[in-house]
Amino acid sequence: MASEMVLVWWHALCLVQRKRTFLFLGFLRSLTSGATSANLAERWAAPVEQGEFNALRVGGRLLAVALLVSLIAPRRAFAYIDPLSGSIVLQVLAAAILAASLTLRKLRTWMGRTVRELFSRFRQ
Amino acid sequence: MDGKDRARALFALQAVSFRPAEASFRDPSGFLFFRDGVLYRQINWSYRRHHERLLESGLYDALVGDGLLISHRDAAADLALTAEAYRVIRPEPVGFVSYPYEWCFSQLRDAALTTLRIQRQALAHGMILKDASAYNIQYDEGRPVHIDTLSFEEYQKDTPWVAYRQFCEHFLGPLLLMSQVDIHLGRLLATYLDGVPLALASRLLPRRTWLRFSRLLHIHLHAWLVKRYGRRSIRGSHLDRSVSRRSLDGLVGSLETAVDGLDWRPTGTHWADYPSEHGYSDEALAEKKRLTERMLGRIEPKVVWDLGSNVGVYSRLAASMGAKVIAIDSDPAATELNYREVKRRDERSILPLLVDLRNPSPGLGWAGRERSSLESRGPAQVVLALALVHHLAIGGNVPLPRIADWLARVARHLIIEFVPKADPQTQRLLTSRQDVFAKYTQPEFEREFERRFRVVATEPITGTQRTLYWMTTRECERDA
Repeated sequence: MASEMVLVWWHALCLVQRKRTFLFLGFLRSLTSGATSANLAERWAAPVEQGEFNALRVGGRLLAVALLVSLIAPRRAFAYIDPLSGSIVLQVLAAAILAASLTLRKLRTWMGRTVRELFSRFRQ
Repeated sequence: MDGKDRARALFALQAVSFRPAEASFRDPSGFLFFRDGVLYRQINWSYRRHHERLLESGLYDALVGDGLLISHRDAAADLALTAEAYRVIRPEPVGFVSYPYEWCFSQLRDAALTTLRIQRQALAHGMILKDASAYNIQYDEGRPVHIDTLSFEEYQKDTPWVAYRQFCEHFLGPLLLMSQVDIHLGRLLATYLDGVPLALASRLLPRRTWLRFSRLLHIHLHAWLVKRYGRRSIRGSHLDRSVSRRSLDGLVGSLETAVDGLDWRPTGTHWADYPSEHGYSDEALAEKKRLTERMLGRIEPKVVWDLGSNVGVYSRLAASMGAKVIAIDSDPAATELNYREVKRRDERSILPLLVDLRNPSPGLGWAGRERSSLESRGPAQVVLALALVHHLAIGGNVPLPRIADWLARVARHLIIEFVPKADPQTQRLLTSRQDVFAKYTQPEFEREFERRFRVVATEPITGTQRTLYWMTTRECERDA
């Protein structure tokens, strides 16, 4: 478990620093240590002791942070106008919130419509 | 004519018949140019794929059908100016070119919403706006319309909107400043032609704007991140996915909500309340309208500039006679009320603009020619200058000869009202100051204007001490 934790840390660090070389080295190390995605899933699915549970929780948080930070590095930004990196970063950071708000808005509209339809049927 | 002269003459001929448009040089996809006075757009090979997609996806037809994009016709390819040309098109010309710093609050807001509607439609057709400049919007037939056919490109999956910052700097920031700080801050757009910098907008906006999510996100947080990241490169980073299509829809929706929620109440200024307190009796007002209508009827103008239009009473009179009217006023509230009336009545012939005639829009941008001065967009066939001269001469300390000079440059026919010093409105201008305007008299006015114009008709306005003149310039007479 500790070796996976180190790997998670390593990946998080690499993503934060955005050093692809180190990321690649980290990936190689994960291969050599046998911590592939398949056996990681197997271990995570197995019964967990209290000590391991805490480690997993911290690891999960770190992974979430790493994923969030990794989102701050989009791939394409081409235009004849300069979008400025900060503007791209904002879109990436806000992407989840904006998508969620759109979903919520649509859900609210759908629920309102459904409730109205139900009431109209009930009245009939 | 020797060989040198012939070459010189040929060069002069070419210079006249081919002229790139001064504002069309930033985008390498193509440019506008004039040939024999007709406006064309050259589209370069580098843009071919996007242009074909625009036409084939149905986006062009949808946008033109909704009146959101200017239509164009294909033109002969041999009209192209350079070898990079893929094709040449002939866009429908816009009646009068105006700029965002000449628009009132609602005009800028409607232009912003139009841009977002276009972006939404573009995304639905697998394309995206690659720029969101306020200068891509023009008011044609009373409505905002996008004029740049080259602003669309194929949407690449999961890419962010590169024009997001430009939209915020051209539209959202200025609109927020106008509605939350001071309406006159719209003039910042004349200083910052590339849009009001986010950092400046963020600093000027009141703290309460931090409490609204959309304002916090699109302005304050945006400004902070732009400053933090600067021009640091983020290209070629390791992730394939960054901003999903759903997030982009959410971004456009959030911007629409932010813009749509902005408002400004045009009250409290002197000019907004002017019609109810201008001092005319009903009879005198009717007489002035009748005289103006008679003069306009004899000219039968196609284009009228109504200078000092206020809320557009005389603009509507001219429009009812078939003229396209540019209604110019320096008061944001009066222009706003005029524009709202144009929208309410769905008037296609009146374009209200916010311009201070004591400081009319100069040539701006690159080499001072990218954005035309007000004067260079003239001359107008008819200029209405009703109840204006006393404001320029006494309110603005501009001597009568200079006023006559400028009007002679922008008008072919001039319908002008002289308001004498004894008039209550002129007296109001003099209440708090010393009268240093010894030369502001009717004989002096007539002498100075007769040096530049021929007076066709002089009509005293019954019930007032004012006089209405119809004048024509010497050039106009020569042409006739």
